[in-house]
Amino acid sequence: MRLRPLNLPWRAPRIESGPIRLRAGRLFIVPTRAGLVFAVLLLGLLVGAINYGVSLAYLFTFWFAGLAIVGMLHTQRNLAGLVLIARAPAPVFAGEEAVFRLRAEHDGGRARGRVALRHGELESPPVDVPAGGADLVLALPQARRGWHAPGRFSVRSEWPLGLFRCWAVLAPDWGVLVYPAPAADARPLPTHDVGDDDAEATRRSTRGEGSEFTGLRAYQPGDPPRRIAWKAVARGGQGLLTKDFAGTGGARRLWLDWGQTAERDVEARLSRLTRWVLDAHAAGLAYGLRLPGRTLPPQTGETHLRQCLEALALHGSSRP
Amino acid sequence: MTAAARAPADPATLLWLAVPLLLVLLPYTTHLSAWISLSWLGFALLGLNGARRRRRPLGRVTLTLATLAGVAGVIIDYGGVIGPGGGLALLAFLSGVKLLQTETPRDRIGTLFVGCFLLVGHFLETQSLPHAVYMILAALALTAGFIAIQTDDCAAPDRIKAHCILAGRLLLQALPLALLLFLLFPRLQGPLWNLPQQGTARTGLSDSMSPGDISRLLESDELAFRAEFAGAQPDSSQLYWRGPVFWEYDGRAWRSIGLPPPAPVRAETFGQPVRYSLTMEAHRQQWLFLFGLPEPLPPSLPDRRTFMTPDLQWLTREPVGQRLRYELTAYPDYRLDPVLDEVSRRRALDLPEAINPRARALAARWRAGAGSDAAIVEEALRLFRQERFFYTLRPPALGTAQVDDFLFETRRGFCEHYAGSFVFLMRAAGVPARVVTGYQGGEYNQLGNYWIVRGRDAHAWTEVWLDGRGWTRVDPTAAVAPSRVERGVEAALPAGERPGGVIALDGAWLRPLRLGWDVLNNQWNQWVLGYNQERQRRLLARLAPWLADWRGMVSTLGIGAAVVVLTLALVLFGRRPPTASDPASRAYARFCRKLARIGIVRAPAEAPEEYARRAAGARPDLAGAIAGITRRYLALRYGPPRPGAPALLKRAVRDFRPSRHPPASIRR
Repeated sequence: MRLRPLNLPWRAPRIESGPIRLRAGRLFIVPTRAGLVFAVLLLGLLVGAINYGVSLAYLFTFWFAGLAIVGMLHTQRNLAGLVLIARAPAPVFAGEEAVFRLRAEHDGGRARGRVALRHGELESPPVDVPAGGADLVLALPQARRGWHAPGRFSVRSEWPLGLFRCWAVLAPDWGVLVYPAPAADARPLPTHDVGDDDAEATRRSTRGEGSEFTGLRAYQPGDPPRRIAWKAVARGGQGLLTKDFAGTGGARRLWLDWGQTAERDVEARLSRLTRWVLDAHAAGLAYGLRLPGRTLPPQTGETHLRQCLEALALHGSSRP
Repeated sequence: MTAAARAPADPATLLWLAVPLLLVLLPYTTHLSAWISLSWLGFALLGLNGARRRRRPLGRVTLTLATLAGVAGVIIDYGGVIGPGGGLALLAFLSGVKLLQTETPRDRIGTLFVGCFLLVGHFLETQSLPHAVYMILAALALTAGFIAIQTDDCAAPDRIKAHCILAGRLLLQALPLALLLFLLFPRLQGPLWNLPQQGTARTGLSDSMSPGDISRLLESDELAFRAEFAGAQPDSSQLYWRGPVFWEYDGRAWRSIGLPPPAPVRAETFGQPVRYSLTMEAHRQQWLFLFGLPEPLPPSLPDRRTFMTPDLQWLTREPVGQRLRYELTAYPDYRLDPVLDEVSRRRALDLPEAINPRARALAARWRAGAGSDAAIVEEALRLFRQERFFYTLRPPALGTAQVDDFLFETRRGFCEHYAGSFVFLMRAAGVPARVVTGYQGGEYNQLGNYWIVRGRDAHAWTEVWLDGRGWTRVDPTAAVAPSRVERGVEAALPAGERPGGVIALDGAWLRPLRLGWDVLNNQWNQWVLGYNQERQRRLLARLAPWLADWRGMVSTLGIGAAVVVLTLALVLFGRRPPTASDPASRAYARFCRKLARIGIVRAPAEAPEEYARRAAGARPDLAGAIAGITRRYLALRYGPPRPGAPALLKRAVRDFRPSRHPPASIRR
């Protein structure tokens, strides 16, 4: 029999894909600070019981001690047998928070109380896990673009008594794609290669002037603020909506070129390009992206947008 | 985030703190200063109000001032915050203050910790059986509080129930470990440090006897001690439980001035000894009660220093602050001081000068006419028997010449009047005499075979020293009211004077109930409260000799605790077959269990139809019911949902009661 390396909380966990089942063997448990205080309290009570020779003080002190031990078993049992399924987080722009969802399920039987997901110093609000399962949701701020694997998480619980903390260290094969933050100021899109008329039309359509309003659609990250249907928002209802204008995109070809950006810094250029890509997409234009080492031909649509943003996010690196 | 952390707990969470604390503190209210109870209540209401408005009810400065005021109040009221009285009072006060600081989880759990401490602390005050049961309830509330403060929405009624059920389950699972620790944790003989004397109120007899002392006792039902005889029970009229002995009379009270110098008891014994055990309630005094002449002399207790005086008083160095149990072998028949030394004789004849002239004159007449001391004793008893003396607990007031007034004017009184004036008469007539106090008789509890001795059994009698017989017990009260000695004080009293309390309630139907309750209390005292070092060793030695020393206890405790925890872990973590979630599967599983019970077990992968066919083949008499249930189940499982169908299946399964054997007609 080959010995498995000892499971210790500070060892880097193996990256796991697929559902993670929390065996009792991979759970750690230590008393919380409150648990330690409780131990000191019990010690004090025991000394009192001995000193005053009070039999019932002995009995109840021992009963509370037994309660703590039983509570420890229950805390461990609260996590043991949980099945965790990592849900892929949606891509975000740098500066936003990526939402990591861990689906917790168990095979019927007892409900689990107060389970939380933790990463570094950030911890999700604890949730109860009923028979049908529940999501542990942890939002982690993402500062830099690129593909980020968050690494080690812990799933933890102090339920039911709060005297012991049980946790498991895990590293789901989680990664989040972080697009560059769109440049804050809306500079006009670069002019067409094709001609002045087109350039003028592009400019106008970018601002949403002169084009034909076709309807509202759900807001997507990157939609320019002035295209948001603020009146609709004010009426309340279904969150942010973006005004859609009939683009004449199919006919027009817009190249968003690394070389066209005014900025000198790589990240600033990527930010600028991200802004342009979003604006062009919002305007319904067909646009192509030209990056050093990568060219995406002009096209429209969501898939194209995602590909462009991914290319921008991963510029200079590659998705592992 | 910080704003939420600053806000106090929501009202529901606060109630989960306040209610368990309130339950813990309720028994305290009887002896806690009223201002503490009231301020606790005020803090609780303020806290709840603040929680409702999500604001801190008091500023930090006000809170600190209130705390300091409380500390000062406790110091003034209790003389300090060290020690159980002041310490627990302060803690009770602070638990109220804690209800105003519930911002962080640490504050909240800390409040419950204070509750745990107060709960255990209250056992210093009382350890009665009802109180212990009540405290289990309070512990349940505290445990539910621990669970509830972990969750947010702890106010929903189903949540309250769920928390209480879980708390009960946790406490039950903790019980084996607690009992193991209770049994095997090596008991140390406290105290670890010197205790300040607490609760100085003494009960029972006192160190002097003046009119009214005993009558107050006689009206109380307070338990003095319980005594259990091995073998035959002595007659109630012979049960004189000896306590303080008084020699000196100052015209008003009888007392002992200073304890006699430690000297051996000189006595001879006759007849057979008896064995008995006596469990004394804490009376915070020094004497221990005795029946007969103990052997060996002086008797000793394993964990107390005791000594015996020549007039047969048994005393401990430290007042009895806890219930105390001892076992003795004693001779009911004995002769004390066959020879009286000169010092004792002078002491036993001493009287104040020039008081009670009429009594003196009477005594002088007896002395002149009588041939012996014994004849003088007879004369005195004849006086009490033949003149119109009455036994009453409400005697008229006596003047300065108490003995004269009593003997010739009022002639109404109880044991201490009779004993006191008898000894006066004896001494005046030149017969050495002294007053003995203690208890006489008691109530025999047939259910538990022991005697219950209460305050109302307190008694005073006399001893006269007779040549050749030593100190001889004479009970003048018995001459006046023989029923006092034979059947207890209530029988001797006139009807209008019967003490209230238990006796008044004691109808014939209530008596067995009361005695049964007393048996329960006695067992509780003996085995739970009286479980000390000595009892522990004795019990464990009876189980196994090697268990009785601390190494045996500690190792057994370690192994036992490991076994208990592992067993519990196995039970908790053991795989239970997942219970089917839909009612149809549950009902069908029940149906399968019923069939399995009569020997038709469903194979792991057997389809319901096959199983039904097999079962019907084995038991043709059940074929109809089996087919019906299987059809219903399959329809529910695989057919379109139909309302009411699960209930029908459930009922069909419930009504399916297969007999173990087929009816005779089919068996053939």
